[in-house]
Amino acid sequence: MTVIVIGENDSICGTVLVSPPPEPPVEVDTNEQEAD
Amino acid sequence: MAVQYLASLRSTRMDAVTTACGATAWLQVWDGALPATPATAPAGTLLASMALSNPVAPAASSGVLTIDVTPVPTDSGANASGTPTFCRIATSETGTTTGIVQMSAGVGSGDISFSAAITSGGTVTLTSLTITDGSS
Repeated sequence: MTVIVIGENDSICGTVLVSPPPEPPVEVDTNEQEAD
Repeated sequence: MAVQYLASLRSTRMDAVTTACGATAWLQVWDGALPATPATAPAGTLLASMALSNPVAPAASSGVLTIDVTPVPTDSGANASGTPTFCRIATSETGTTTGIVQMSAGVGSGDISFSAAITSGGTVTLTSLTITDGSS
């Protein structure tokens, strides 16, 4: 395989956007107890 | 003095990167120390890989190679959590010795600047990447 050697005067500039994984759905307790 | 090349020859040098990438190339994101060469197996962890276009870029202009980000290279399920320290353009998604070009990376620093550290399962999106031949 060919390895390309980037000259020391060459430059690279890039940007990457990072997002967290989606939050797991919040479980809603549907079995609410009635108040006394 | 530094060596100077014609603009057309500078572009030819950059286009050689596109040729070396072939039909399938990825931008690999790693943590750990920068290896000695792009083909040296890293000691760190592969955090994410984004598939690049085929070809990876249109013809270079005035020695500037602009990586194609349409469609947007994205990894929607990062492999591991960590802070990026270097990236590689490589000819395989996860290969450790298939790099063509490598560059420093960091959160808000480095050749490739990340907006935040990577969380396993998160989304990583390449928004821009240019390589500029410095022999002008």
